[in-house]
Amino acid sequence: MFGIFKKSTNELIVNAPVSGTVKSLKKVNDQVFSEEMIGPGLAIIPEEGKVYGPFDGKVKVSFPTGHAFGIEAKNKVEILIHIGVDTVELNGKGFNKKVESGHKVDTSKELCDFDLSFVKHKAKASDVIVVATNESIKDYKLEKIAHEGNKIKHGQPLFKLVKK
Amino acid sequence: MATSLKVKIIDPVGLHARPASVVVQKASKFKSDIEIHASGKKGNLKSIMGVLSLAVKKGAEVEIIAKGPDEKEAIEEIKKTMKENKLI
Repeated sequence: MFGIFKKSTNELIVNAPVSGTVKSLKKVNDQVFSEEMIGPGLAIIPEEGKVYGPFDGKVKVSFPTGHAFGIEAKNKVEILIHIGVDTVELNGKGFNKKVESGHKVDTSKELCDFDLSFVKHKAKASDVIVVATNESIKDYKLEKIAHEGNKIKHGQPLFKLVKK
Repeated sequence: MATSLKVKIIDPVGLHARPASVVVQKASKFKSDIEIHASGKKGNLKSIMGVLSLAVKKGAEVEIIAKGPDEKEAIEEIKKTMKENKLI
């Protein structure tokens, strides 16, 4: 019993919020992400426009434009899910967000759905970026579970944060 | 003590992920505690979620307050960074 409790605070599995193909953050066409300025993680080239929660957690930030969400896990690790590159410029067009700050989420809960072909054509890229914020993972190490080129379904493990 | 800076955000999309992350990175280099106050709420300027959760829009007036041994330098550098990133 104590073993299970220990595991859940020492390790957090971040599941893919979208289905698609895994891409290295270094290849994302935005310095903020490719240089891990917000933090480390992975990106997914989406094959459909549905975004789900990455784990059991709470929405900390829900951008009014629906293109980015900050989710906090029970162990206080924060994950930023950013849909597309430079999508802030679309000013919400093509995005239909379904959650607000304070809402509880899990891997079956949709955060938003978006028009994939619209974003592919109008934004710099449609990559869904999933990063753990530097300041929330000071005591953790990121270990990739999925790798570049892997096909992944939403809800499947993408990477994990393990306590140092 | 404490050194503060009051500015108006001019970026058409407000304080969004890109410029916010540059400012957060800069703020994190200092020893002082640094807060950002906007619309009656406050956030830790060293936390990207803390800043983004304030959802600061264009035209909003924000106040940045630094408290600590390098507070003056921190405010100067943050002001410079915000100008460089066309936030103010």
